[in-house]
Amino acid sequence: MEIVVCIKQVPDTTEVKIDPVKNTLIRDGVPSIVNPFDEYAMEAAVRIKEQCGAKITVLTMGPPQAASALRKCLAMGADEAVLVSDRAVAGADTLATSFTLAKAIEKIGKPDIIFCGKMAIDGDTAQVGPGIAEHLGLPQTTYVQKIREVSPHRLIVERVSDSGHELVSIPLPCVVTVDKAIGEPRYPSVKGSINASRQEIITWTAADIEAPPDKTGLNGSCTQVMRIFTPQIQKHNEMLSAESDEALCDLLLAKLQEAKIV
Amino acid sequence: MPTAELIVFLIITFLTVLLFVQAVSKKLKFIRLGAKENRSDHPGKRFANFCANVLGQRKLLQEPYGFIHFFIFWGFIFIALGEIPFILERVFPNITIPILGTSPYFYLIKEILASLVFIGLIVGLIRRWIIRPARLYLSFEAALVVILIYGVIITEWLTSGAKLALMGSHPAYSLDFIYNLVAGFFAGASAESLTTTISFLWWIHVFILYAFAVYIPNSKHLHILATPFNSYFASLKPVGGQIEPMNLEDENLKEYGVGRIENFTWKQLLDSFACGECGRCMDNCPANISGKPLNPKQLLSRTLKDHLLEKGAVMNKLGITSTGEENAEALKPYTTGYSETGQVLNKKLIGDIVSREEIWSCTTCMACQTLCPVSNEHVNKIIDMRRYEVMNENNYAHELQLAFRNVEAKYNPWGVSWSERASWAKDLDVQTMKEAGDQEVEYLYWVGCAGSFDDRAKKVSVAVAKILKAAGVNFAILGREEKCCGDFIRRAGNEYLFGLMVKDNINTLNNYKVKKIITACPHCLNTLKNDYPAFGGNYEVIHHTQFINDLIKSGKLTLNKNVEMPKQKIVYHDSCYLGRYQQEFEAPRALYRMVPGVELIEMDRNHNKSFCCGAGGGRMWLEENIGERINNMRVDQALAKEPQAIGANCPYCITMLEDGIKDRADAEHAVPVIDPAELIVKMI
Repeated sequence: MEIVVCIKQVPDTTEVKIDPVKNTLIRDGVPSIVNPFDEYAMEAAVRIKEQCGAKITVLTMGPPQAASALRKCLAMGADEAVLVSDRAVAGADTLATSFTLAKAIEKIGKPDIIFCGKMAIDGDTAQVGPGIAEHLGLPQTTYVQKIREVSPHRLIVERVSDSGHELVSIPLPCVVTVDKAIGEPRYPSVKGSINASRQEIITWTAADIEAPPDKTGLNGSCTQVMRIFTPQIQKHNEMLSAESDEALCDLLLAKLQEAKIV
Repeated sequence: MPTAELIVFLIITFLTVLLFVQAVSKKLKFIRLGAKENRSDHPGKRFANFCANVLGQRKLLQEPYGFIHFFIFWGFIFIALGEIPFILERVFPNITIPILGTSPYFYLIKEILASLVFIGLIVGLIRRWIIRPARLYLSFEAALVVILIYGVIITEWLTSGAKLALMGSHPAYSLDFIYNLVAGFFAGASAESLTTTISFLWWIHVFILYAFAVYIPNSKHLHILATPFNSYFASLKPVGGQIEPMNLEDENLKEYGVGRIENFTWKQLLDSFACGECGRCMDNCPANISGKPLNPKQLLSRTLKDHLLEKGAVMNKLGITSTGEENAEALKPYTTGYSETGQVLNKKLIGDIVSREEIWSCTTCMACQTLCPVSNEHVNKIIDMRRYEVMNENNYAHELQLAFRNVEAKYNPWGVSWSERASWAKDLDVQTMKEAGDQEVEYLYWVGCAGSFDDRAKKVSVAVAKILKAAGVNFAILGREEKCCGDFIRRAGNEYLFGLMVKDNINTLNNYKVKKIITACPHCLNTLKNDYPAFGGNYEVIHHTQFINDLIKSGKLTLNKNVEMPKQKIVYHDSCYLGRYQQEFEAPRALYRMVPGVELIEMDRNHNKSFCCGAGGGRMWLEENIGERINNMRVDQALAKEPQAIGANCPYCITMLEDGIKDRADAEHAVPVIDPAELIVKMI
């Protein structure tokens, strides 16, 4: 079985602080990490590899530094790593990114499963995974929480939706985006990390994957970021307390009525 | 000597030499199975160590019974020298051996020492069989060797005494009080009977002596031969800097750490043969004393040695000449299928021979090595085996993995956001190196993870910073750029992650051209000072207690002695990493003594024999599930002195002791743990 896992290197947003004066994100010195949801995608792929054998190729698009994110995935159990790095693909939105990744996947071969995290923590769009599926014309299932069954031509997965849980049977090849419930990503073994640090990262340019300039990078993007800012969050919290639960309910009701909510 | 006797003598001498050489070379072959390691540099320093530790018996003399060994050692040397005239004068009656055969003073000294050996062995026997301290093993070997030595000494005395009686007088024996005493017993015996007696006793003596010579290299008493070499080849590095870096760039390196006995270096294997089983290590090992499976003496002198003897014999028989660096694959042809040799070769060093609990019990407190009279290096072996478990087998405690993960992601084992590293100092107006920019900064204050993130240790960091500012010291911190120094990571066997931290930290430090570092954490201190040089980081590192002493001595810091301080007895706890590792015992004590109202008292275990708090070597991050808790034991030792406070100088110790107090003392007996800086800061 051939699996491609698409990942993204993101700034560790838990460490990103807001400049109180300029109201912008301070990215200075913030370490880059593998997008946490993509680690879950890696974990899903590695579990299938352990269960029924598979070759895992981990794929990302980004600057040369993104190689370190790929190495972490190699340490977790990926067999090969591909980095699409080219000025021509820089500044891409989700449309251009998913197009570029789709072209890279075509060059990799004909994978049976393409795993993505459900979204990246820096953009929160959750569009790249589905975009890849559309560009490749493959079926997709998103927000997957459990892989129940893997057979040569079909996956049976559980996914979560607004209306509840769904059991989905999807033919291969397909695109799957995963949620955290899929299983805690493993901590790579030291040996795995050392081997990964020695392994070669395959690097492709836009030309290598035959991606036309008008469909990649800024040129291929149909959306553009005009400004990044931190919204003012105004919270008014009030803790209510009363002697009994009934009294507390009455107090809460009075407050809600006062605020004209009920 | 008659020809027939001479032939017999030559034959048994030849056989003895042959058996002796065979036994020694067999052991040498085992030692040579080990990996390469250069221990021949700086012959001058090595010889000096040899003189102090072997000829001078330095470490033995530090213990009450040690002087007995001193006399036994020197007694042996003189008894051995005395054997030269004793044997040669009979074999070649016409030759005169200068000094040894002629000097009455030589015989006087020899006899004084031999008598002391005689008495010393009795004391030894009393200790082993009557007092029976736990650290000494009762064994047939120990009894047999005493019998042989007595045999050698007594038959020599009797023979020479009889000889003196026969000759009437002998200028060389004039001061030999024993020979004269024995000669007195023989007075009146006929010349004929004396000649027969001398001949008979001489032969008995030679047989016992030769039996002894053959027995030594075949028993634990090989210690006598191995120790001088072990002392000479002992590590010249400071005790905190003896962990060898691994070349992880080397793609041929497929096995990390030591998972097979022959992967130890030859010097590590020699250690086992040098062990005299005195038990100083186990008597001071916190793991052993608290009932954990690790017993450093057992590990070296029995567990590892027995395994080496067994596996080495098989390897030598099969002609496997491992240099220790080769892959386990190389052993495959010998281990497939069922065979006795295969079974021996298949034994796993970790698991079958040494238990995992043993290697993870060590706190790297260095009590064993510091007190070991034969210069054995116990801790490195344990770290090498941990490396195998962590790096090769990925088999180690979950909680340790969490600490590694935290360091990887947040650069500190607590897992607190790295960007909060300088938060402790936000109200103190302490500059960072980055803020200092082009300004010259003399000292870097290395705060460490504990000092930055642990609420208790932060109070010490604040005190230190306030003192430095009060003394007008030109210093800065690294703030968010500081990362875990890697102390516990390295000692827990993760050389890879350690390497990542070291690389980043050295880059940062060298980038700011840091030369001098002050730190309040003895673990950071040791790692920065002793581990970093091998990676290109060379700094002068000083503990805050040392630095504050310097500030006071040089007049840069004046203390207000009129400050109102409570009268209190403080019992002082030496941290391993400042005490044994840096041999700094005085600086913290001096600071406590400067504080009005403080009476500084000692625990029974102090200085080099101080008892670990239980947190070193990664133990801080591991659950303590076996035996008694080490920190609780230390707290018991401290509270026995009925102090009002416990003095400590290390953030790990402070945490461990405070936890122990919560566990052990009720509210009435609970005492605080105080770093000296916390008292000094009140006097500025």
